[in-house]
Amino acid sequence: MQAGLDWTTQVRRGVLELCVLGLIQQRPAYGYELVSQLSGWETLAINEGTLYPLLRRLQKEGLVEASWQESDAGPMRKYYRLTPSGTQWLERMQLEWRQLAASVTEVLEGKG
Amino acid sequence: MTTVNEAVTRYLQQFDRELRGLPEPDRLDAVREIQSHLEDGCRGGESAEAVIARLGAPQALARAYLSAYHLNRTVPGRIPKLWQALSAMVYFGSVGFGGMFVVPILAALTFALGLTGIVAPLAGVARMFGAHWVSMSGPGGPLPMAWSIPVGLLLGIVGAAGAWGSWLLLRLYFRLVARGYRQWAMLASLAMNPVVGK
Repeated sequence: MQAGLDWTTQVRRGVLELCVLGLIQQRPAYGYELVSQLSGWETLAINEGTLYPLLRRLQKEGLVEASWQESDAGPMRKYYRLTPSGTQWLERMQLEWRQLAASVTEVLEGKG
Repeated sequence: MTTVNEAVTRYLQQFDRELRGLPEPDRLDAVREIQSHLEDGCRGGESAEAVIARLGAPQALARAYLSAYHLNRTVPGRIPKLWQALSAMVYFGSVGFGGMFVVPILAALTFALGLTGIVAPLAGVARMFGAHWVSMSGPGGPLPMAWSIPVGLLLGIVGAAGAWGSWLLLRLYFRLVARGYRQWAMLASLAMNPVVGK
């Protein structure tokens, strides 16, 4: 079972970046919100200890930008939104993801 | 309730300490964000311990932040503009070609002038005390014996200063090349593998 878990971890790492960017594109979001949203899918549930460093990296790379905003009830929250280059990067990743998924399906189904 | 706050405060303090490698504004921002997350979690009805457990140990979280910060991944979100690609080519072309001459010449100068700086004063002293194999001559024939040491010292100082200067130039050259490399390497890699958008 251990080998299977390692494999899933590796595959998820890249896919989670795609999902996080996808969620942020739909509407600006803060970290706690992203964790809650992704926890709706068991396979995608992201650990907070992974999400925040990932957001930090995306911000540093200029794919997302962040701003602190007051909330009606609750603490100040750091909202993330996509930058223009983040939007381009996401479109490209989505395209690659679809191509990859289609190819893998074909290979596994034995079409050549 | 106090114990909950204590756990949160302790966590944030330790996280803050572990982030000391980050620039001040980034460190404060990170701590503030984790604090906001902990508050949201507790407001949502979870125990602070549960939220903290999912964040992981403050050392591990800080390490992940630091590695996210230092990771330099090329994000080819755009095709480089023509002038950027050309600048990168000019940079790598001139550095590759220029390095063949600049580096050996400066290194040889540093060595030769440094040697002069040591040998000339010694030769001056040797001549003063009768070493005939040392010859010093000016425009009007051999120099007076009394000048041996001052002239030797002068030559030595000029040589040492020259060696120091070439060494500084060599280091400056390396620094400029390294800085330019960091700046242009990403563009150059984009120029070689342009991303066809959409």
